[in-house]
Amino acid sequence: VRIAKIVVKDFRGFSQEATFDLDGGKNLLLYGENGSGKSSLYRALVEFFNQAPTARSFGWYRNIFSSGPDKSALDGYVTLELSDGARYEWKCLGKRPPSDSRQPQVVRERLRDASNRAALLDYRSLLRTNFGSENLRGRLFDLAMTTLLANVRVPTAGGVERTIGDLWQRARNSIPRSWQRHTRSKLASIASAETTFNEALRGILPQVQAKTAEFLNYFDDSDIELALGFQGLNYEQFRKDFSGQTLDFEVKLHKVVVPEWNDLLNEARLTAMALSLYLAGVALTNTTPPPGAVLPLRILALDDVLIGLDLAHRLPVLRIVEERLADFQVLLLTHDRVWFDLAQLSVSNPDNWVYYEMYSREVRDGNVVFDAPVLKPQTQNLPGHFIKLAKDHLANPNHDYRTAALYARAALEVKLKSYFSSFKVQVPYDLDGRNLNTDHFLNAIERRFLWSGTGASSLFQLRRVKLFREGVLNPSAHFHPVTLAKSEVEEAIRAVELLDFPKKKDEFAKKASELLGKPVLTQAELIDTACYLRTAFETDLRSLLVRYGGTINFRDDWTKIELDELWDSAKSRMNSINNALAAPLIGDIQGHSGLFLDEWKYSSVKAKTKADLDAAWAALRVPAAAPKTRLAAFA
Amino acid sequence: MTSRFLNALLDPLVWQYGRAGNTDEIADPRDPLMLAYWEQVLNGLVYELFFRDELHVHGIHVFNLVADACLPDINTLPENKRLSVVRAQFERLYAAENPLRGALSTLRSLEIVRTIEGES
Repeated sequence: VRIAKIVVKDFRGFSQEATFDLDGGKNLLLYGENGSGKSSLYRALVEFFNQAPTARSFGWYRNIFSSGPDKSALDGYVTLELSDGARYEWKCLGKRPPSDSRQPQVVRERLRDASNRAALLDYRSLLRTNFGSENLRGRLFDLAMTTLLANVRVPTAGGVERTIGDLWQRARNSIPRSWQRHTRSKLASIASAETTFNEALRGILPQVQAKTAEFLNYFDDSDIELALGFQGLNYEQFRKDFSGQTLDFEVKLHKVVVPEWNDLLNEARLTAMALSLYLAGVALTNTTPPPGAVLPLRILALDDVLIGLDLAHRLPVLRIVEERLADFQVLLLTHDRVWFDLAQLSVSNPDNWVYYEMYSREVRDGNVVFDAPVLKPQTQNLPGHFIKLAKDHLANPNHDYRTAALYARAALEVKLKSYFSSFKVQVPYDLDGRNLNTDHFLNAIERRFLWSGTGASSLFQLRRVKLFREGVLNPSAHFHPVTLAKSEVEEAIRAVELLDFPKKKDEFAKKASELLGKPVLTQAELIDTACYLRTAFETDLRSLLVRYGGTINFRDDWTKIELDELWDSAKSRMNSINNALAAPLIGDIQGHSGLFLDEWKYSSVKAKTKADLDAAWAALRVPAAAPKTRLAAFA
Repeated sequence: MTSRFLNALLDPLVWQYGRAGNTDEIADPRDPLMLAYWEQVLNGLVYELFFRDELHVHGIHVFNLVADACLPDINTLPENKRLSVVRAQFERLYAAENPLRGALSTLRSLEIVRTIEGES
């Protein structure tokens, strides 16, 4: 069971109704600028599931600007719609559904189970890891007991399951107040709470340590080893407090024990350790329901907890939650725009996620002016989102070609970089990475496909994209005066939209032949045909060079191999092998140099008619045979 | 049938309590947790005896799960092997992915259990 929709009204930053549609129960990645209401969404979830006796009523969280100064309208709510169709509402003046007696008992119990399983962490909790340098072990104990390990459930004497946070609170509460005496029963109660807590924490620490180490391994460059220890609480009557409130950490950095580790471990490493500890607790408490039981709702919400980590250290967190906590519906909230974009490229299955952006806008209600959240759902993953924006800007009534072109280029960059991060394609070394532009990526991918013989259909798509590199997709071509034609922008958007990197082989000659078999071709089909012909020529040219040992000059940068050089080498090899066969083939291809050999750009290709392409295909193909180029058949 | 299951669970529990304080063996910090878990399993069986419908509506069948666990009869084991066997059984059944652990964990959400265990 998952959350399909969250609807919030008159709750903290949300003065008006706001709906987060999670598309039937997908994970949520949400970007919200400061003050946009992002943390209000997090708080709505926390409070919806809050079972603590001290939990405050809805009224405490009402938006201070809603319903006018007298706040007379009491119509706020936090509603969760689940993927099984159930809908639960926490209304202003009402009880939380997990404890609302108007709900059927079985429903209350399921919601309590969801509450027990919910893992909700915000940045404020983790900030305590890094403040100051005094008594770090004491502060980590406090952080672990109140946050990181607080929800870890442990069986205690008598077979009663409690959370570590609850046991810690019970131990604290057993201490008499300053004016109270240590009666015999009080001391017995303290001793009991102390023993129960010590046994529970000592009992689970080996598991917690092992799981934390597993998760720390995801941060593969941190090279931290962690040993956890707990000496135990020991009540001191004269102080009326427990000694031993420390969590012992032995940290090894690069196999060396760090004696004063707060001085040596940086914020990122401390945050990585704290997050690993927290997620270890979540994993250890995430029990598998028995067969036949209704699948529980499991949510993991992280509100800006990654701010202490640089981008490289954030990706492991994404991998941990996707790989090791896959049962959970993940809600990642961030105020970091770059991370929002990068995370979209890095999730293992973008279709499992929905993306939202939140901004704030000024609202006037009578004489009151205040900021209210604006939600912008992103219905597709990042490239799809950019393509949609490109089309929107191109369409009536906008006709904003320049912006459309910029979004098309952004979509292209996202697709290329996403491919790079997945397949580790190499680009030329440069001291300043900003010097790498889209051409470097395009060329590197193209080279990989051309020489490896894989990604053939992508090669054709890349060829189609490259038609527009000088115009629509050129980063420096959008300055005034605007010279973009609508049809060209449309074609460029289509080229980027269709760019995909499947691993299937394709037959370009066959595809070109099929298209040319049609009596009439549309403009898009003409371009596709031209791309198929060019790609068929180039791939078979390279195959021929490999087959017959063609040579080219050595160079430092192997991304810069011009087609001219390959063609010269091929001509030389073909002439030496079979001059009678080579001469007419070379002449025929050079007769269509605009399609096969010249610089590849839209302005020349768009002028080609079907007759031009028919003639080019007739020159390239083996006559009266299955579609095949004469280069492939050359012997 | 039922008594056999109870014996299978009670035996390690009684045996462990019997050897509590035996300093000849190196204590494992997880032993108290293990004792508590065996008690939790027994409690689960008792809850199912008395509140069958309340448990079954959530798909919780503790008796079936204990039967599926195939606990060994520790009385047939040599004394010096028992502790390691009992500990191994505990680690197996206490794993987060074991359905018995999942069922006992879910029990904590039930109102009747919360009332009895003082969590209402």
